[in-house]
Amino acid sequence: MKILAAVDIGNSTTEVCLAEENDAGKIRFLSSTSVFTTGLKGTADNTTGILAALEEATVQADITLNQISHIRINEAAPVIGGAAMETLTQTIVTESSMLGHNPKTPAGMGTGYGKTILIENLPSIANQESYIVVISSETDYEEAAKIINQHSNIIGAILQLDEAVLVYNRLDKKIPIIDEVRDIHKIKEGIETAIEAAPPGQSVGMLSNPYGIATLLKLTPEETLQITPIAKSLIGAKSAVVMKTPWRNLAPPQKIGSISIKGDKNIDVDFSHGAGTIAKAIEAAGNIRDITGEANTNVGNMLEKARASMTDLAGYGENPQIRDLFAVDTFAPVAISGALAGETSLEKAIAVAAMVTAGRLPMEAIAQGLSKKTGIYTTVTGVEPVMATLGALTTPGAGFPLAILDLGGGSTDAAIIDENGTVKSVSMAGAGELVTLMIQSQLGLASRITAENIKKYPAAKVESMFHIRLENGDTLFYEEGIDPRFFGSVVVLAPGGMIKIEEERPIEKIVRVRQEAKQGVFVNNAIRAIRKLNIQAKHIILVGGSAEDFEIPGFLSTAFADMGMVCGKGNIRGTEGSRNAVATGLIMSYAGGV
Amino acid sequence: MLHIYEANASPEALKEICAGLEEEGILYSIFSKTSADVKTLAFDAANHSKLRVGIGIAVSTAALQIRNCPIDKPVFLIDSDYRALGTNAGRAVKGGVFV
Amino acid sequence: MHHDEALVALVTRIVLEQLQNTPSRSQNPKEVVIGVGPAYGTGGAKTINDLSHSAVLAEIKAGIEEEGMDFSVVQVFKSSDVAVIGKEAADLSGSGLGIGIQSKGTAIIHQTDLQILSNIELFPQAPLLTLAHYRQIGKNAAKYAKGESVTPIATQNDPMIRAAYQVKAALMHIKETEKADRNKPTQHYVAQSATPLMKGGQN
Repeated sequence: MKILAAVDIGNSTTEVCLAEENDAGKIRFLSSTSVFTTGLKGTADNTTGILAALEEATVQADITLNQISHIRINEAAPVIGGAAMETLTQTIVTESSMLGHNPKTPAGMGTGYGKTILIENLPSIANQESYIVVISSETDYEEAAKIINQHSNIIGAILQLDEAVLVYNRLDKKIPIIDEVRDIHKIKEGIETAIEAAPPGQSVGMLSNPYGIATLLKLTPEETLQITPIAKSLIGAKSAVVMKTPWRNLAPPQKIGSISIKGDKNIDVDFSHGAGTIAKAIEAAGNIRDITGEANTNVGNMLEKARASMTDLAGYGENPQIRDLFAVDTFAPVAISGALAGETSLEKAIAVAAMVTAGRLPMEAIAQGLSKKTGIYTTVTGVEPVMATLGALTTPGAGFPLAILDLGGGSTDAAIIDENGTVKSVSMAGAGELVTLMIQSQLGLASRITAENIKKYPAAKVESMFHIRLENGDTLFYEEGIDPRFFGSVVVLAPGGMIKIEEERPIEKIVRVRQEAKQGVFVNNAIRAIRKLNIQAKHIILVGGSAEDFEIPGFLSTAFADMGMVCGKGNIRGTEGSRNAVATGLIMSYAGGV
Repeated sequence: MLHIYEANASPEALKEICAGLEEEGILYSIFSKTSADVKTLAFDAANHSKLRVGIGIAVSTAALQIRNCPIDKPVFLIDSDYRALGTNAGRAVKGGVFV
Repeated sequence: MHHDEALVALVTRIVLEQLQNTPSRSQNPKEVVIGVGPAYGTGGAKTINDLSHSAVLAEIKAGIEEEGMDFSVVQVFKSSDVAVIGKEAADLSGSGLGIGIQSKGTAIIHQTDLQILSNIELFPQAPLLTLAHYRQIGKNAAKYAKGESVTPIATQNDPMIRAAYQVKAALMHIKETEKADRNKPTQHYVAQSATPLMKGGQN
């Protein structure tokens, strides 16, 4: 009798399984474990994680480490993916010329036109001028209201503090008021200004329309053309101010740029045509040797960013070659420079994932290190996709031709095995990291970790001190009460408890962005990968980290069912779920004498 | 109507709390009580207020309470920054994030 | 204007007393209180539609439990009016939602912040109410308590039912009113936690 151990080192987890071979050569699986990979995949740091996983597995199997007679480590696929994003359009407005935002409690409604003036500089004698009064935090709401009441020629007010309602309630003649303008000191006096506050539940109509601005500020056709981006960025705002400052000559926006694909066919494609055209070009190019971006363009910069991130990760040679590229059309809120209340404008953007293949990872060194530490005979064996398909075959109900989809962080890998045992595999750029990037940019999140949490866990809204409303409408009560800092927030439900999303975004939007990002990346890429295998699969088994996601397997099952294929999360050996496919495959290949 | 139960409340605290509520657009009424325990004041105010949120003020200490929360654990118990307490009371009614 | 000072003093005293005697509300935000009328469970212990009182109560409880909420049962003596019974139940309820039910089977879903004579849902034609309706009444009250969107219960409406049951209804209501006593306090029966609450909620 012999005890075998199989080790699969992945980017995020290290998986181990133990099996026993009896004297007749029959294999019985004893235990399997999964721990976080220590260090970068393919480096000596991995040993710590492997030992921890082996330790845990031996305890589970009720044996000791020295009873193991043979450790098999998989030959990891040397694929590294990176993702980056670049906005394609830009909104540039002249400094201090516009202000449009959604204060929590605006007041008044309607539009007005006048010249800006600081409240302390209002003339004591009435004149014919119409004024929009600028009130900093130094004047309190009672004082401000008193002064406005003394000046019938004030047609609007801009406040620094959150006091619009307080001032409004004390006015004899009601005017539109905009508050929470942080950088109020940037507003100059004597500027011709239009102001608008929308009725409850609506957004500004006059100042989000170029001709509306033109009407209020008496603009020429030429000037109207120039303020169009301002009007565009005010769409959806509850209140807005537009000031007629001298327009500055703006530098022409940076060129979006094109990429050159070198493959079976060499193709150049302009990025401004969007993700669909790019995908077609990538497919048409066949086997890709490298992809480069046009220098000094948005695309060129983006590819360099992706390439740099991969070089860092791989820690090998300069300028690795990009073997695949996957682009997704998206958008991103971008801060407008010169804005007074932190306004953003929604810009068209494109996110790309790129992939490079490295040379052989130094797995032999890891094996030797492990052997020295444990005294156990250790070998490196088995190509990862082959092992994964063998492992996946143990899923109940699986049959030939069987494809696996390994949805990882950096890349989406696919492999197919037929009745004759022939295996074919591909690796595609674009997976979990691209999804995280899209969530982060589309929701305008400060932290990547927040985006990661949104990707991983279902969202909920804290509706009271005692209950939350889950994204599917269910109610969940908490006996001990919910911490007040969560009150009214959107949270995600991580296994350890709720995590607050600091940025205030509607839950519907969070869910929509999350689902669209997953569909856009995983569904499109899975179909692309299966198509590239060029063999009609009947069964598609999902393995790897993203197969454990709470919604991705459902999206993929639906997409492939519509194409007449069975697709679902694997259940390795009928017990392990989508985990442990490669390790299981390693044991099976030993039994098969490979 | 949101209930404010006060006992010898400092005029400044009361004014700022009311300003916070007003800015959030919440109607309130003020009742003078004899009890000096700010937690009890807030608890009773929340229980009697149809908006399920109540404020208690005793001298210069103020508490925000939401119905069903235990009497000894007000949601906020403060003796400065009264405007924020008023704002938060408004947010508690409207389901907004506290400041 | 001349007024009776003694009367004013008396009324003031009663009002103050009633204010003092505001029933103590439960602190459990998951609780829906079922209030039954003064004669509920006595006499024939059947509704006008010949449903046993215990079966009706069981259905309402089951409806609340199925929605994952808790229930308590109280018997209201101060009035035989279904609105008063329902409002009293709502005032005692931790969630603010209450169900009132008379011996003849007339039912109401009430909410503590509403005036007595308004309500959330009223089921006036007791002869047409089946056990399935009572289950649904329990479910709906629980859903209101959770803040979910609720479809009001569809009941039949028979314009002739009033005439057909007028005498029986009057007799049952008289019996109920006879058992009512303005000064008799509401009695608590069972408080039951149907499902355990989630622990924690913080991290």
